[in-house]
Amino acid sequence: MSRLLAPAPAGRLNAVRVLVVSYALVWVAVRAGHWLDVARLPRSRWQPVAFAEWIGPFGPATVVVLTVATAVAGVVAISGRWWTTAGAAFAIGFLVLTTFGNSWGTVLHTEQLVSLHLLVLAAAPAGTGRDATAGWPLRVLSAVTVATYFVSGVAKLRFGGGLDWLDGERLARLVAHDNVRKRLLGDDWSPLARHLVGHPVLFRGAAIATVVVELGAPLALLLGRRVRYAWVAAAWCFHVAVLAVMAILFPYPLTGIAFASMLPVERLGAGLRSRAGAWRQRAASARRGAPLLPRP
Amino acid sequence: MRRATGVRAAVVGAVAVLAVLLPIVRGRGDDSFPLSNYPMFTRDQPGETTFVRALGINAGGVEQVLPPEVAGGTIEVIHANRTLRQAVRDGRAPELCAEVAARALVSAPDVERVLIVTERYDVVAALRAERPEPVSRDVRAACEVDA
Repeated sequence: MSRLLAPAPAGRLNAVRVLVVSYALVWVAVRAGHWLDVARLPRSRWQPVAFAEWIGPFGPATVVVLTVATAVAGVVAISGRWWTTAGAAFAIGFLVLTTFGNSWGTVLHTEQLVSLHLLVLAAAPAGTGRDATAGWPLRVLSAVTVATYFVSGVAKLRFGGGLDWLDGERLARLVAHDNVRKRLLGDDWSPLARHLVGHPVLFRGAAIATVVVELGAPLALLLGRRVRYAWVAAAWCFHVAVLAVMAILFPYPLTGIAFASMLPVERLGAGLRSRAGAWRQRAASARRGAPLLPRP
Repeated sequence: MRRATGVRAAVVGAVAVLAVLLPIVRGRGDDSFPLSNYPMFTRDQPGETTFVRALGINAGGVEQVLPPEVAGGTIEVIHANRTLRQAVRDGRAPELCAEVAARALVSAPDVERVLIVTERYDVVAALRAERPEPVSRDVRAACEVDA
């Protein structure tokens, strides 16, 4: 318990909150077109997941209202003002819109983690003022992150043929299948995969590395900072490899924001503030006619 | 105050982590959102696989793959493809063909005819080929794009 409640470096929770909410806000803007598209599909295509069954398929007008309301809540939430209300409204709006978007026969796995992170953040303080060093929300966010990777690793062994998944043959066929499908459908595919499919040893190595990273994720919580950073680097490399070989983009981890709670992101804010301060000082000096460079 | 924070942290932490771990026990086809069992990358794809495609044919007889907005009514390729496969599986290919043709009339004006086809490919050979050729092809529905 004391480990969960131990303070974090000042400003880290605030920086994580701003990064995650900003990312989600951009995502809302990017995905609005898709949500509008699916809102116009025939109702026979509606295959609700989770609580979507109770809220039913929305029409385009409802999607527009929900998207705008969620975006407004997101803008307020980034500022940290009225966080309890704005954070909760944004997290719920994001969850409703993404659940709606995933209720048409295909669950995409790029929105789960950000949705879960927003819900955890909404239940936590904003990370400003006297809560600037609150550490428990960061630890819960990190635990949620590693838990998703762990579940994914278990799935490889449960659904992927047990230890046979590690021989890489399934992975090679999966990569070939995914790229051919994209190629035939006119989507972006990976020309790199074309050169790799003839080398089974590469896929054996990739399969083993994937399972090690996913099942080893809890170590990032249990061991020290170096192990945590090493795991974050390995997980990030995994997503880079998926992008390079399967043309599948997981933007949340690739931008590093999915791992922000495990990294010293408060330094980003401090760095930006110090640069802005220096810039303001230079601008003020220029207005006064003072030299821009210090005299020797 | 510290006690209240401790209770809040413990409850939020326990609920969040248990909720994420819970789908571990669900079956492969029982994926959901936002609590997933992450079944992607686990399917055992056969060496030869059938794909369903919506093709447009222009006045010169040239075939083109219809974009997902036309084929499935969404910008999402995977989503559009799922729609095509489901329609063929449910025996609704002619109905879907008419839907696609109606969208093609607006979004793909050079298309005169729409085909819904299932094609079988050797996936490794198709990926390595300059121009993938199917092992076999069945036309499930064909319809004209009428102005």
